[in-house]
Amino acid sequence: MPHVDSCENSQESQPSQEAHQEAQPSQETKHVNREKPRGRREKGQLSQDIQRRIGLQLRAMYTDVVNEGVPDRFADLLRRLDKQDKQ
Amino acid sequence: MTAPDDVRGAMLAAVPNLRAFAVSLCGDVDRANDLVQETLLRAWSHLESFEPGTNMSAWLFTILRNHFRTEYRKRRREVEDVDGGYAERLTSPEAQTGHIEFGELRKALLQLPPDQREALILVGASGFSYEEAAQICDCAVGTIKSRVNRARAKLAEILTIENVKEQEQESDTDKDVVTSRVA
Repeated sequence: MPHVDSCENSQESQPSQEAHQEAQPSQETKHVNREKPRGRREKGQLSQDIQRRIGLQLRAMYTDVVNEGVPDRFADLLRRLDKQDKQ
Repeated sequence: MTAPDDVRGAMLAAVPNLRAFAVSLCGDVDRANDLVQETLLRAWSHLESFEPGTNMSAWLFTILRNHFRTEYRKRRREVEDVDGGYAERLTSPEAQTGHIEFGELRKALLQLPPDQREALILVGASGFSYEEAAQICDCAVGTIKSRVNRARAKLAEILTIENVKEQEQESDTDKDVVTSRVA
């Protein structure tokens, strides 16, 4: 997914620039300023950040199910089908 | 027809991913398991249509996807369990992911049209290329790309609203967790 990657990369490489352009630097400047829905630019940044979090969460959620492995019912099912065929 | 052992092995190996795909698609573990079971049964009875040497996983995904779409159409008139099972039944991941719950994402996913949802999951989670996803969904590569983009935009919209609401309510500690996870 080339355009998404490049989007993530540019995000990765520009946090300091973005922090610099923060219209209202606040006490939260010590965090990377990605979460604050202020100006239009801020919103763009927010949406990029959300995009990345969505990607991470989606994969994490998916992996979570993958990690449950093969429930017995499916191993049993395939074994049964196999046996049937061989008889 | 007799399936060679390696076919059974390949099918078995695909089960964890098939389940993850099914759960992400339908938002319900029990229904997902039924989808996977039906997929394996169909695949087994149509093994002659599997071309040896091609991607078993992609073939099974195609069967599952088609079956889901058929089911989905049938179910449309029924009351859909949109916010139901899925989000509530699978709460354990929270422990592994700190403050970010999957529940929100799951609910948001279910708000997407199925064609966008499946495209996003295949490309964004299952790890298929756009080309493979296009094959599985029987459409053009460009169509998959635009579905994925629309899905991302829509999810961002839904989750941004959630996110802003949350931030208005919660303390900075929350943001620390979120930021450190993202960084």
